[in-house]
Amino acid sequence: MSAPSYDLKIEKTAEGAEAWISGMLDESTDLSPLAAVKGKIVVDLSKVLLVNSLGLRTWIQFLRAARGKAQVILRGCSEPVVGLLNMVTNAAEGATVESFYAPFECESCGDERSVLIDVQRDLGQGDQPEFPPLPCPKCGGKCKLTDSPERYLLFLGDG
Amino acid sequence: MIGGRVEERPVLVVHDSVKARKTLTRILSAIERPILSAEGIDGGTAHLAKGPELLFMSHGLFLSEAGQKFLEAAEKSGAESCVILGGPPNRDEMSRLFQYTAFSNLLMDEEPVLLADGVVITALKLLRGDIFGLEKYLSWGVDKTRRTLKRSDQRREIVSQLHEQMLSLGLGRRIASMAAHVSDELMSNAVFHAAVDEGGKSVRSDAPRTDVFELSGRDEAELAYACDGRFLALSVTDRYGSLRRKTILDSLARSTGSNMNPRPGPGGAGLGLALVLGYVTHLVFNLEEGKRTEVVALFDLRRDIPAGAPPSVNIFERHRKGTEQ
Repeated sequence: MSAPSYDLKIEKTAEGAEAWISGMLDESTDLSPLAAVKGKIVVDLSKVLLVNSLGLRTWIQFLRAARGKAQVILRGCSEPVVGLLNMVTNAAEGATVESFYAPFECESCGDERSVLIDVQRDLGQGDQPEFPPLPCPKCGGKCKLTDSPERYLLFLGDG
Repeated sequence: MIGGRVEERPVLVVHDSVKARKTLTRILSAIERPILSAEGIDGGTAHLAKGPELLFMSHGLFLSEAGQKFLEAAEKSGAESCVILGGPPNRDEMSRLFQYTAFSNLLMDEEPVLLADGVVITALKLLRGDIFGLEKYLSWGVDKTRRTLKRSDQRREIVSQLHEQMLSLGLGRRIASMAAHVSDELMSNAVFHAAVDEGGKSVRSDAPRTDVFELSGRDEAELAYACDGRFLALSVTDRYGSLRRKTILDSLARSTGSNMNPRPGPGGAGLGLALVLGYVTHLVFNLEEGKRTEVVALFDLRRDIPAGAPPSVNIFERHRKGTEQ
């Protein structure tokens, strides 16, 4: 058996559990401890680097197992996770995305950074979600999303 | 054309857009063959008597009933088919395209002129039968890095190194992540799906992907990658050559939907190709039955390609056309 390439940490809360998944979700991934939780499960995905097809299968199986007995909240979805959510409609089936990371680049100095976006707080309440203005922490210049906002936020429309 | 021309059979372009026809004619002048062009099926049929060797047509005409009859006639006259998709990407149309056994090459871009490289390379590969090698898609002289898989679990280490190298080349996190993902899926296929016994039966496709075993001789798979600033290309080659065109088409047709249902059990999830299609700009299958399969994945670095946009796809079979030079 190959060694796990991911890490799963679960802490019980009054409402259910909070979990942190990091690394690569692949053939070594076992989310059954998470699937056993009832109530509200907040899953932090900010340190997920890659999800391959086998990791995706495990993930979808977890979401299906949670359906009806748990409310799944996705927190801090990393850029690779957002890419997956935009490509595979059912990769967030039944779950709610609370926050995610988005790639920004400064138009003046070229500094690139991944910025945490809170869906409720940062994207506005209009029909077309908009990213908040983001000054560059290095030079104060204007940062812009390196992808098109409509495309990057596609997964929110499917939620 | 270097090395002289063996035949002077023409190339036929059948496209309903005059702009596309003009652009394709200009691009195809690079291969030094007579070019015939027609707006519709009737015009194309009239040209079949001239014995075209290659056929380029729009996806709309390809998918029409008249287009299918025309393709049958073209195939009987010895023409290889090549599809150009001119309009905005449409996954439903893609899925339909893959259900036709006549399909082999889909080159896609909203702007025909941006297909220049793909059109010329596809035409030359079909005409010459020289199908292998990712370097055909890159600028001349670009060095490629090669890694050989000698153990099944080495995949993870190679993927991590590739990811780091992509970042060090300044390709950005998005491309690095997509390249890592694609190489992982393609290597997994090469390790678990390529190996067959003497009867052609898969020996590992149902094996748990967590199994660790040595890979030697024919079982070794090779990852190669290179970048010329325009494209990042990576390829995975196995030495079994067990992948069949029909398997690819079935898999492509299944993979063009966005709602994915994983296969249960310890083997593959059946989602790998769908994910790969979502990340690459161009996917090329080079098949030599019983000898080797090479899958080339290209990422266009020249402009911002939407994640999940349907890519171009080629399926080349070496035994179907000539000998390699």
